[in-house]
Amino acid sequence: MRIRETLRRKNQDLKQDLENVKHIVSIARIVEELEPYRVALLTRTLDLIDASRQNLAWLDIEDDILLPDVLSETFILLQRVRLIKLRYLRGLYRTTNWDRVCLQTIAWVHRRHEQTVTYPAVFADDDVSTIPSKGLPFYFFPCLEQRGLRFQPLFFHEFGHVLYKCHEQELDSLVGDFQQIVEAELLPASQRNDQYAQEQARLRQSIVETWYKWVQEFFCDAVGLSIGGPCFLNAFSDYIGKLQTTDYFRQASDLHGSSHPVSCLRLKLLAERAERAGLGRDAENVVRNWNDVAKLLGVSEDYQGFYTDLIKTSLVQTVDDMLVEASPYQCSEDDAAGLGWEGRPMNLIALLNEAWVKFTEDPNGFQSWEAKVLEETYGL
Amino acid sequence: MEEDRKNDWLISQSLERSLSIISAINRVSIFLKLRSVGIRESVISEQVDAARKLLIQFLIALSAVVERAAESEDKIAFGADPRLSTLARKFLELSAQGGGVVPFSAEELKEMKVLLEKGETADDNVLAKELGHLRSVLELHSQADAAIVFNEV
Repeated sequence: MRIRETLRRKNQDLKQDLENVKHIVSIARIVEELEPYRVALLTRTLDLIDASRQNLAWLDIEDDILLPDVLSETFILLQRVRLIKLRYLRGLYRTTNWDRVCLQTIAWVHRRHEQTVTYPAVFADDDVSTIPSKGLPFYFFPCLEQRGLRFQPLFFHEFGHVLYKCHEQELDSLVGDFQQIVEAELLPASQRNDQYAQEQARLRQSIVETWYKWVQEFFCDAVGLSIGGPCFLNAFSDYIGKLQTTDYFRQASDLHGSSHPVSCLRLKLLAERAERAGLGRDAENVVRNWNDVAKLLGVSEDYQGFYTDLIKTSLVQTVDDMLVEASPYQCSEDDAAGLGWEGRPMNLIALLNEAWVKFTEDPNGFQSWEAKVLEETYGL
Repeated sequence: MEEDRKNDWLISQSLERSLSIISAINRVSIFLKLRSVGIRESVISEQVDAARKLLIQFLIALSAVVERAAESEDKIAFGADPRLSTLARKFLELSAQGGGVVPFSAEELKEMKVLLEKGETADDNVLAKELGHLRSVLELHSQADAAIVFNEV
């Protein structure tokens, strides 16, 4: 049967691709912080080579009843090889010494949490984001920000997604309870039974489902603050503020199914959380900056029915409960003040907070201070 | 933090989940079919057992989501990620069509789970056929996720 030969050839091609990946991964010259990732990636590649061998062995069985299954297995293998080539190889293929800054941040935060202590550190170039797979989370970070300290705290938000994955069942349950509140408070059921009612039902469904992703983002913002304290608040405010009207207001059609809430809402709820944690001065500063920009742009906040104060208390309580369940590292007062970062081992959180203190006090002198720290502490 | 969908955590997780489940279906299906023609694999009962367990867990989770969505006026499965909710609604819609497109409801998902739990005493042909149907739905679902993750759209 011709399909048998097609599948055989496809599996042989994939096996060859994987052998090439194995070779590239084995010989890549990398910084020592990436070695655990090299081991993890080699293990995954060898597993896929085994899968291709298994497919070829099944194709040697003459009976055709297995062909639909082997076709499907080949489809799976093809997708996984694409993930290796397009995502996982990127973490290792373009590595430079500068990667040590981000890798040490990721490794630090993994080590501080028992669920992730064995997870290798890896990232690639892109906007800040993560693929929070259990065992092998993959982070993305912009090229320029990789080479400095100020935006490193953004990894703590991304780590929140990994932490969510580690506690998925319990956190999904809390999110589900909150979604019911959203439906009850924001979205009264229609009494009609016509096309209008159907459209309303579809909108209700979309808003409630959008909140599944939004709650996770609010949770990750809170995780970032818990771990980093003021340095996270400042990095977050600086990074997500794009000085544009959509920071404060987005069309309803853009909000349906969106992965992130309106930035201003995130910033304000985070600032209130920071204030409750005793970071009132930092909170006041960032909120003032955002209000100043809004005033100049002539925009006011509008959440298009996705959020009102009716659900605020429940949202804050839900995120609090999620933090109790996930139990992220808590920034200490000394960490927040940037005290004692020079010790051995280095106190990363204190260093990142000290970076923001230095930047705020003397933006012009910051670069030379940072260059000295990177040279002395990271060997760059 | 970004809106770029190729790195969307939800889509990526959904794709990885689908690939794992489809692979588990394949592993059990191949085992059943080989047994039906009298071929005993020299490997790997642990692999088949692990695949069965994964499928059972998934069917428990999916049927719970289908039930929650069926109970809600707006077909919302509270506390389930939107991609899993979408999959659940696919099952509800397919059930409602009734044309035998894919013969699944929450009850039938549970029946498949029972068949998987029976192990040796289950009807291999029935189970393999139902797994094949489940796989066809999941493959469609995963291809939509893959198109985004791999920037095909």
